[in-house]
Amino acid sequence: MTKAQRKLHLLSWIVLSICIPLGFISSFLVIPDKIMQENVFLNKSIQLENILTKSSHDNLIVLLRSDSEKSKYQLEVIITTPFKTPEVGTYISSSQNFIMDEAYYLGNLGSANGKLFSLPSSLVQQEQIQVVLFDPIKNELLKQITITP
Amino acid sequence: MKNEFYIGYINKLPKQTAKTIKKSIFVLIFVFVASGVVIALHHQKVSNSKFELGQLSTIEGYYFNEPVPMIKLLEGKDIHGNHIFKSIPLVNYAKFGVEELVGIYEEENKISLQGKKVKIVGTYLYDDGKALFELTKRAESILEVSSLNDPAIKEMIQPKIEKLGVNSIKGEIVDSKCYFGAMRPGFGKTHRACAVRCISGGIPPVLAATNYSGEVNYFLIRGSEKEAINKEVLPYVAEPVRLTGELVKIDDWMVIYVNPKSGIERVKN
Amino acid sequence: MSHQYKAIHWNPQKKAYDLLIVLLIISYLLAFVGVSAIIHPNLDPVNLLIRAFGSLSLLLLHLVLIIGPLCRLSARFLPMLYNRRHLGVSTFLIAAFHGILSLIQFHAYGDSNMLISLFTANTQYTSLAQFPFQVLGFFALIILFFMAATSHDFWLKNLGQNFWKRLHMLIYLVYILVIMHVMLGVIQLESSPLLVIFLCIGFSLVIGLHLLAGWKEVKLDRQLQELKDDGYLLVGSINSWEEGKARIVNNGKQRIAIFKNGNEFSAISNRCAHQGGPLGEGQVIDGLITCPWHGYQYRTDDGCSPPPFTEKVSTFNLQLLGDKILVDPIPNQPGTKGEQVKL
Repeated sequence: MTKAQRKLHLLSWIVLSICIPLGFISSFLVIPDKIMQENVFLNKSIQLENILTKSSHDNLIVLLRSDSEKSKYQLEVIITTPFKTPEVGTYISSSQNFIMDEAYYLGNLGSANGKLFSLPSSLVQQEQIQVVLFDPIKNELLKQITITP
Repeated sequence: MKNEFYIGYINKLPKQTAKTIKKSIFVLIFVFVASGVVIALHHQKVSNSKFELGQLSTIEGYYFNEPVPMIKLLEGKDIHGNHIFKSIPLVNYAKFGVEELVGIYEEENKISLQGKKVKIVGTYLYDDGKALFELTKRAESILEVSSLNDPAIKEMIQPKIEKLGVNSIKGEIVDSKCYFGAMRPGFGKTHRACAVRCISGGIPPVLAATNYSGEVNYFLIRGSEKEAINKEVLPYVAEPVRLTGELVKIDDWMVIYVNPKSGIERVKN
Repeated sequence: MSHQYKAIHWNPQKKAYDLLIVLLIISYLLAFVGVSAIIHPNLDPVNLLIRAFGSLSLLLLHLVLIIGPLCRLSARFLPMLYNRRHLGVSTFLIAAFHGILSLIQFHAYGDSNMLISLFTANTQYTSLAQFPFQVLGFFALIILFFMAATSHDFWLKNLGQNFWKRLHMLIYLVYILVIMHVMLGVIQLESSPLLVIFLCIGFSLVIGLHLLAGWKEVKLDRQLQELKDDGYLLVGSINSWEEGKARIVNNGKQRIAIFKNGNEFSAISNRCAHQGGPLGEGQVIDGLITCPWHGYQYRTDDGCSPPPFTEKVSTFNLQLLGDKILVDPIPNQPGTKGEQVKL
């Protein structure tokens, strides 16, 4: 290389040694923070304090909760590994044989960790409750769990 | 080393040079394999979303074009005896929405799909409790359309609307098709261009808002006159934004009706 | 040693070099794709390939960039320089795969032409945080394409060494474009600090080695300003040479290599006609001055490559004063005989 070429190389790297760290640091500093949203519109349920039953089933934990006066009840369903189906509907069935039209639909389970569903006292007074996870889109029974209040 | 001299076209490496090169090769292989493993271990977590690519399904449900073109399926009855429906927004093949496709179908067949029972074939996409349906065969995906004669059913399928007032929600505007399954991951700056193409092509834009417990809530975005504002939201896609508008819960979807001129702002760090 | 358009003049060293390139590429891809597929089975396969090829091309670019200064710091790394252009072309091909896949994945099948979409999907050109990073990658790839396309000696000869060198120095621009492409793109998605740390180590190494090598050359140029005597430059005593090797002086514009070959001293330009390699760091092999970079050879008396080759370098006139060798700083026409000193 000629002296001029050597100079050009060195000069280029002196410029790069300033520009690269500058670009690196400034682009690092402007990485947007993850934005969080308060729940402004949903009356998010608060867990009732008493756990009446708790059972684990593969990728699920099912809890029956109540308040201290046993006037309110909740079903809490926690998914540890999400189902790979279009819909995970949570139903309460009074019979062992699940028929969608005869069961009560509580709500759906997303991939979020846990969901709370209010249960009427009349349901909890039964000897056994069938908690059924069913995909109405694909007509597929995902899980049926019997809990004894 | 002093007298070592390497010439590429002579097939012999001098001793010391060979030693250095051998060491360098080991170092390089180690660096390449280790980098591959370590970088792979540190990707960001990918959601559980799914696109049933190549797996066609047929569904029958009730078609509604508001807030976005969607099919409603009966999901059951709640404890008060009310019928609950699952709303499944429709998207087109590739990066397009279905509004144009449905419009052409309605014109050609001189029929309105609104409130009709339709049978369609296509591909499911789903994640986090939301499902979408791709009309994979485009216009040929619409197999049957039948009118409802029973007034009780007509009444039953009417959308349940709950007005929640004006609110501001912070989140990221995503294209529903990629976010809920077509691409994994389908959000963030690296996906921005794709989200812009999809929303520009008519895929319903959705505001994904993460709350402090890590749950994500989704809001279909429409204009304050209930019109599509896909073009207007394009400059804000995949950025931290705050949308202000009227919140309405329609069946199982939240909708935010936003004035595109005043209701969208960027959120600075 | 030819610039005729024969694709590659294969020899065992080049084959071994290319085998190593393939081995590195395959080992990285296997490690990356394998681990990703196990840890993140739900990652979109096309996105997985985009990430694999993108990160691999970044790694290869670093390797390409450190070979030059490593060779300036130690001649033991010269075998890595010998076929560096194949590494450069491989880097381009891997980067092109990343770029084309990204273009199709993110911009195709929509309501706009892919290339138009590349520039218009994100128009936040005035914001650093939201800057359309894909455009940076696109320009880096275009430059890499021109470099890869002109990497053959045919182009080196036809474009001229100066122009070719300048064109290929655009790799430095590519490097900064790529660093910003990564910083303003994937780094914003990833929450792990690991990629940032990797990138930081990478550019520190590249910059550090280049500055070190550059500084070494500056120091050398200063030392090479030898004493002038009657218009001639003093090289040194005839006893200060190693056999078959050169001593180098600087005439202010360029370096001159003065070789000792038996009882004969001869001076030629230090700059190889091929890629500007430092001839003075080469040796006399079979009576011919041989460049350490790619083995180009020149006759000691007239600076011509032996037939059938046609490369020429300038010669310089030497004088013997006592036991000291002096060199005339004014070069002779390339390929013309210079005055040698014969003892």
